[in-house]
Amino acid sequence: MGKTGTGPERPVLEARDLTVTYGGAAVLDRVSLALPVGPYGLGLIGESGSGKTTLARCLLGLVAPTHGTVLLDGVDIARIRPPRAFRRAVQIVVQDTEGALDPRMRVGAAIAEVLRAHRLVPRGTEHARVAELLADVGLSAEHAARFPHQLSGGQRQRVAIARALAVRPRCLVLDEPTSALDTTVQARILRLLGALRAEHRLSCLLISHDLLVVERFCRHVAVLQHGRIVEEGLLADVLRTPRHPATRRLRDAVPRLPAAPRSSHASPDPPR
Amino acid sequence: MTRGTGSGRTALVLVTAGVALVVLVALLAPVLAPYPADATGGTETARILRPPSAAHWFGTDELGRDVFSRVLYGARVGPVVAVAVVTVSLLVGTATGLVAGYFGGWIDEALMRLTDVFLAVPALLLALVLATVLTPGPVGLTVALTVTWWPWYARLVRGEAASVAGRPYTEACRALGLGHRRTLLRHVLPNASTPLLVQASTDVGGVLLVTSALSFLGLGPQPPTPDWGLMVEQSQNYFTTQWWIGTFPGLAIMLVAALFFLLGDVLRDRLDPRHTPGIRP
Amino acid sequence: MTAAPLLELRDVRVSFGPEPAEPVLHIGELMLRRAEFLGVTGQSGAGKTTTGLTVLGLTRHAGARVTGSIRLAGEELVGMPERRLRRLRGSVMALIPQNPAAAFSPVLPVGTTVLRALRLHGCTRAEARHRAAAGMERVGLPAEYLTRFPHQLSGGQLQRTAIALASALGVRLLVADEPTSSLDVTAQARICALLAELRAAHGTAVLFVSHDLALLAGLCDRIAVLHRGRVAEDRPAAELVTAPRADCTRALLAAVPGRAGEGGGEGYGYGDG
Repeated sequence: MGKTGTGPERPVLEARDLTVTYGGAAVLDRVSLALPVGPYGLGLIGESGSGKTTLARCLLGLVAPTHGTVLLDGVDIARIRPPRAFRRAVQIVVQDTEGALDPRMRVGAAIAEVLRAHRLVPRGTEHARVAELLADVGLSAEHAARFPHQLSGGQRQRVAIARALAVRPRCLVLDEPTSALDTTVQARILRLLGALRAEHRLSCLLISHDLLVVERFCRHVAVLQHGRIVEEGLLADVLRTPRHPATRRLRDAVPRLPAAPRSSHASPDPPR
Repeated sequence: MTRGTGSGRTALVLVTAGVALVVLVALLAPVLAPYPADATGGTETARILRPPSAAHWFGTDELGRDVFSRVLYGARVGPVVAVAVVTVSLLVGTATGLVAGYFGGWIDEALMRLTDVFLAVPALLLALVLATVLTPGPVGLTVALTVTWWPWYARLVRGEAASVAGRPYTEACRALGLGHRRTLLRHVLPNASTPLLVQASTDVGGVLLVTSALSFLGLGPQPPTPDWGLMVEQSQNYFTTQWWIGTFPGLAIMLVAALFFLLGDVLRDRLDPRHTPGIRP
Repeated sequence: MTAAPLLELRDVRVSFGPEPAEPVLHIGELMLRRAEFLGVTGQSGAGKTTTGLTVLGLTRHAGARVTGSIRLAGEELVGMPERRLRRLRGSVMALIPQNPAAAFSPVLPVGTTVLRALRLHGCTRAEARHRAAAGMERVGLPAEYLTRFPHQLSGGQLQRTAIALASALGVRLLVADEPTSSLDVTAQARICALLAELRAAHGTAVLFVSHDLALLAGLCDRIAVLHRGRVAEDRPAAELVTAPRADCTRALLAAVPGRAGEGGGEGYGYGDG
């Protein structure tokens, strides 16, 4: 299907025929999805209750599918040894900025802990790397000493991103990373994610109910409804001629500003 | 409104000082006590059942022993048993509850049924049995109470751990590849422990009351151990005429129990990190 | 055409903390006419939510001091006794909160909450039941949903139930505090359509607090932009979004993704393409 871009794209992370049932009801129904290596990203959109978050948790190996497999570089993630190797490759950033960080741990310690668990830096040098990671996401080294409740939502999300990047993953699953944030903060976080994606050569799966967010971040999109992928393709095509009513609904529900006389604000994510 | 300032801090300082005083008294009883715990008046009837005076602040008992000295030495019996019971119960209960709550599933099921079995053991009966099998004393008392006390902590911790295990940051630990042991000890335990520490410090007071009651019934330390509960029991015959023999050890039980209840309250207010003043960005 | 506005704020100052405190909110003038939709926006901490809560007289509970004048249908709300205010909330004005579950007791069927509110404002039992059912019908939900508990309804359905209640009560002013920010876009569109219907049917005015300028632009007649607790700009919506005057408005506009006719999607690329 409409895969354009640079040469043959082999998927880095792939869901094959995923089915997840809870108490008889199928939350995911034979979902297949491939996240290609490369800068263009894949967006996954759907209404609440369509199974987006369950799919994200499956891709991270946090939920075992009832049926089907998740593959990293063609290998079933359940068979990757040591399991930690998979964690090094794929990371997630979730919507709940407040819940994703341990309220009792200073954010610097939370990041250092990941470095230590994976033995990523020599013992004793963690705090230097923590400062580096915080700087990468636009925070200062002083923020390391704060507790999550002493940070704003946007700052907490930056910390969560820094923590995910600590293991130097190749793949990032972004599950509604900006939905809990104000528009201005949302724009800043998306811009940051765009820059980090380019810098660290991340393959990103962006999950959202908001087409506008996906639109500025991904070239391809898949639409999930009632646990099934109902449409996928190039985002521009899908937006222009949606084939499924769910897609049309999602597209038309998005509030848009009337065209502005000046267009200088139009692309907040200048490519690097 | 409890902020980490003002009256909250004063209460903490006072209660901590009180607890420190009890610990000091227990440690330094031989130095502080004006008389040895079991120094009797011998055959001198003039020194038995004396009311409080400058020489004997709390008076003397039926054997002419200095009640003040015995109350000081008593800090080495009842409170020590109470702290031991709570500490051992905490260790066993926390380990069980953490594992059950965090892993869930059949592990949870098995551990919780085991806990129920222990909960069904009547403390009093077990103490009686142990007193008959072993010789009655502080060790038997500690064992009997611990066996019946830890399941409460296991249940409490299990509930907390299960709720913490369901929070996004615990899942984040898994996603980050942190490993079960690290997650359990560094994330689940600290977040599940606030109600636990509060409960435990309150319980020291409660267990002290129970141990005192059991030794009052003769199931704990035996004479001539200077145990507060035992002292109250032995003062029964004299209570109407020589009130001081039972009143001072009774007061000691009450004060120390109240102190630990207060400690629980103060800890509840202090242990929440959200009480550190927010630095707003 | 009535000349007098439904809601009129003049020199309203809201401050917290000890006496000589700088007000966190200072509104020189803000007006809302019958059947008018006023959007209130601004960055986090600009005072959007405080504005909404102050109008409802709810900041008092948080220990705020409010001075100045807030007139609702000619009645002065500042300094009004709490009992009288409580009667106004629910009969003349109502709140649609951000977290829809917050408006309903978790241990009661939503219908019980609705019926209690209606009876509190003077309906007989039969009348209340009839009005509640009619309200549910108006928002496109089956009346059986009144027997469900809050956790059995989705966020969008709860929000619609709250609107059904407001319409059954016949309130003239709705304060909607980020009513759709916990919902997905399609649920959001449905809520907005319902509010518009409510206005057409009853002439209800809405004070719509949101951080989403694009949403406000499509829904509201006027938009007031708050900046550090002051009104930076208060103009017709279409004008404000196409020709912003204040810097903070421009900053908010710049953050809105994908303006119509300017296809987005330029954000990706490793820079090697």
